[in-house]
Amino acid sequence: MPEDRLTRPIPQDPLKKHADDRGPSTPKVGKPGGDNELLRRLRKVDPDQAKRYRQRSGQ
Amino acid sequence: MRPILAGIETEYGIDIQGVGPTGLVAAVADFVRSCPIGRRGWDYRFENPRADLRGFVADELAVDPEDMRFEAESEIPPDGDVRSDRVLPNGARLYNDHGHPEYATPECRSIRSLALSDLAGALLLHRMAEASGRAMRLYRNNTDYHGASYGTHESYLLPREVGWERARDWLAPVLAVRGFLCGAGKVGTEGGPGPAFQLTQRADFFSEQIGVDTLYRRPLFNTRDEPHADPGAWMRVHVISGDANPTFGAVCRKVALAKAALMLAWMGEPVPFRLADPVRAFRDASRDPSGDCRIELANGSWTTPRSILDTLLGTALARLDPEWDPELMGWMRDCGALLDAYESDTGRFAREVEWAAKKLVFEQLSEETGVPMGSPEHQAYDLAFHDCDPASNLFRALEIDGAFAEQPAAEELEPALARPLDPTRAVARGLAVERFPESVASACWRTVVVRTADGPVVADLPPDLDAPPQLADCRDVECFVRILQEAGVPCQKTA
Repeated sequence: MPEDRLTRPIPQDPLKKHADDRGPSTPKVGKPGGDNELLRRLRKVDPDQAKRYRQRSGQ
Repeated sequence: MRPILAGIETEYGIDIQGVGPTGLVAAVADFVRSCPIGRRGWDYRFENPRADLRGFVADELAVDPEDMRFEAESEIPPDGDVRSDRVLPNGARLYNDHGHPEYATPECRSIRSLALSDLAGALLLHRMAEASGRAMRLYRNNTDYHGASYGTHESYLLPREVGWERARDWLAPVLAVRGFLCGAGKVGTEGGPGPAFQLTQRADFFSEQIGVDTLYRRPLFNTRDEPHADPGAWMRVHVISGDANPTFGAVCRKVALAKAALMLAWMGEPVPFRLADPVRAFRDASRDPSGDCRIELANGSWTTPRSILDTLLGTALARLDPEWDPELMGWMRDCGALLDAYESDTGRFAREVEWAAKKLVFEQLSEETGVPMGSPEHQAYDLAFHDCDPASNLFRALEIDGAFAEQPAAEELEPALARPLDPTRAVARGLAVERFPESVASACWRTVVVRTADGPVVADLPPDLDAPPQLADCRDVECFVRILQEAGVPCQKTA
């Protein structure tokens, strides 16, 4: 019912870590010297790549 | 009843060192022509992108004014063949669409086959890029972060008698919100202020509820009427709002959710939701990672993206005959489990849903480096999630680190490049161009014209054809035509 929905509490975003640190985790990405694959690849990305990237509109 | 025949066309982003937007058309034509397999050419006789399901032909299609400028300044190939079409041995089509290499899968009935065929296109293009010797990157995405978007289209073939209105009524709410389970995620927004991150690549580029356009003023429900089959019997529902998902599960969920809606439409099930403004709902849902934003309904009530998805899944599982498409029912259960996981097992959700995996990475990057969410630097990382080079792609990195679902390896995609995975009419198309390309006069989705000793013959391949297994033993066009005729395919001499 619409009325029920109006009073339904909006849940917190469970993907965001909260105070008790529950929620999913991803390999640490910003630590110098880290050795996971994500970090290795992030280091190789040109941080200006998106600034230069220009395409034509497609369908 | 058999699973709905479907296909996916993906326009790839391409960044070639030293080539700007005005040079892309000619450069991509060259790139497509470098494809080492397939037969050049495409038969356009059954195509009319201005034909509208509502029963008329539009005078013209809307064009992006910015692109008109590029058009005027664009270089084109010396021979004028901008599209540079290829028909591939797997029944797929590769061509140059507005400066993007576009790979259109062969027709598939199985969702798994379609996802593998779609991802195999990225593998082919990556190999072509490596072989080119040029400094280039290919992206399986839909945005350049500067206002341009390029598409990933799905096609679903239904009996014409289902009616486009019923298809639209079921499909529009699902297209507006399915990004919660299959959105590729995007850093930033277009056309004004918005959140630093959203669930889908495409939502910002849609402005109309319904229409035949695809390049500009894009509609959530596209009415292009090109069935690529007998138009009296078949209707192709052309979905243009989906993301170019880089990962297998997301492609499968994208297709399964659309198929479920269309199967319920086909059955004549009553529509549970009519959205007041589907375009606004698409944009709002894309900007809400809780899946709980308010979606206004036409009757004055409201709902949420997750409620719409939950209702679709519940209705599909309760009302669809499980024997119709057992694989689809499996994906419905998987989608239901993911909806539950959003609250109860967020680790699983982020290991399987593209936008959620990206969002975690960007939040962590911000936290650890101080670079704000939504920055151009994050957009550069966002691009890397869509890089067709598996050695650079960030979803592949997460997979290696155990933070994302296992993806099909190149060896699992190879068969989808070699031949159609499902025994559809694509088998006949692919076999003809592989076995006797010199005898193929033309080919398209619907027909193959071959030159026999008695003259040219056009085979009108019905979309519900079960490809005869004997085709595999064909070595010449006479055998090809005979086997198709024995399978009931109309084959007529032509001029």
